[in-house]
Amino acid sequence: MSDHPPAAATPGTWAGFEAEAMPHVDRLFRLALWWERDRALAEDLVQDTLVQALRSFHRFTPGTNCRAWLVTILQHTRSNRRRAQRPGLIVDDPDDRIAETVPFVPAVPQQLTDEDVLAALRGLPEPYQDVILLCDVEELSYKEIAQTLGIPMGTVMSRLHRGRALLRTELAARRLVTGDGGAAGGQARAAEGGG
Amino acid sequence: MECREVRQLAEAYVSEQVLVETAEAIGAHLARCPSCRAEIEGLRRLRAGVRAAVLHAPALAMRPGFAQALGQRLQAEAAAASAPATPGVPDTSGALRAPGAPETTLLSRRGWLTLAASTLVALGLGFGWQRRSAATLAALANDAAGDHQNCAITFRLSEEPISLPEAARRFGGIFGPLDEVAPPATLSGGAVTVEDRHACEFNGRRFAHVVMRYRNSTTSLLVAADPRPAWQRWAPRAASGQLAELGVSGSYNMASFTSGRHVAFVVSDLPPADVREVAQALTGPVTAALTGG
Repeated sequence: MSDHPPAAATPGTWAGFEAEAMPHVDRLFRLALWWERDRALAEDLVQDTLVQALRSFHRFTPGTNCRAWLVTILQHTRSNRRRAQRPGLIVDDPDDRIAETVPFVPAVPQQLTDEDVLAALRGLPEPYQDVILLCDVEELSYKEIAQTLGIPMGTVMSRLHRGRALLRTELAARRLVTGDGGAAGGQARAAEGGG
Repeated sequence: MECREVRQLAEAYVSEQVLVETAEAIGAHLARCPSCRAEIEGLRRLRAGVRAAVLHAPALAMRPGFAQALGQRLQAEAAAASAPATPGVPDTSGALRAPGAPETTLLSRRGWLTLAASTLVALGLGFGWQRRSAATLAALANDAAGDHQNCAITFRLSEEPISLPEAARRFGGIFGPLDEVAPPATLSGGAVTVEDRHACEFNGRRFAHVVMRYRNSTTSLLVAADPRPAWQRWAPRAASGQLAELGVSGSYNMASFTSGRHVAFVVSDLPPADVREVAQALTGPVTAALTGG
């Protein structure tokens, strides 16, 4: 039995690519803009990503998670660019550094505003931002996140745990600053109550 | 299942990354434990909050028209990639700029495509292959701009350029004749000086490259084999030796002309009028060199 890909997945076939990949452009752009913090750079990154995806479309397996596939290409394209721009850059792995700095995890505030969430998320070290975005926004599985970022699955899980804990701390701090700390504090005590 | 175990699995549970049996056991625990239920609800609220904030933030939205413009660009690339390759010419018609190559904006690329396509339309070629031909030329133009940027400006090609005589020995073709091409000594803006001549490769495409300096700007003449099959090439050949197209790629202005089976590009950050002037002055010598005239 031959193993020919379906017509929709042949290289250069626009119709298949348009149906599978193009619906994800908005999400890819949001992720790219979050990472790049510059609209022109984000557009360029998304464009490069989709061009690479188009050229590699014969490798995409129909029926699998196309967004995860695209996000992986986006991340690789981004990494290559960063390496090219800053070849000597040593990425600080914050896992050990942060591990001891989250002794208490406050409860998640009842009311979350987009502004607070985005500001708190931006305040995290990048590796934590990355896993939270890929898990919570892109809804990738742990395995897909590990493949996308090129890290072990255990690291994905530990970064998610610590990242969310830091995010909760940031959010609670923002609530306190804005004078709405009572609910958060109450929830924190309730969550610590055991069961 | 106890609280401690549920708390350890809480992250994976809300991310739907636990086995069905484990999820059922956690669910049973949550039904009788308000504290763990509050913790899980908090995590779900956090997850939903992050998702909503990122997906709804107006500051992270695409500008109007970006997706459509991107789609058109990709469609043109798909058409170029599916075009038949010319024997003896590297099949890079669908290839695009490599990582680290110059950053060209979408609109400028579209501008080039539109210009190339409209040139063909102006020639009365309303056939279906017009767009494919234009897209192939546009991909070549992108590579020419990429070569100019990476070779003449930033010196970061993956392979060292080789001399034109050496390239002529190894590859034949255009390289020998272009070693003799002399640009005009002066133009309206002053002297034109040749800084280097070599053969270089960018994105799988091999160019004969003459690096010049005019009005204190590095200006490249890049000549490559025309990747279009002969049946697509005949119409522009009517204008062989004439300045055919002028467009923009990234921060560069470009002019091009065809000469037999080759396409020449002049790339520079000079204003369009200056680029056109340089290209116009080069069409005669380059065409004569390539056609033996």
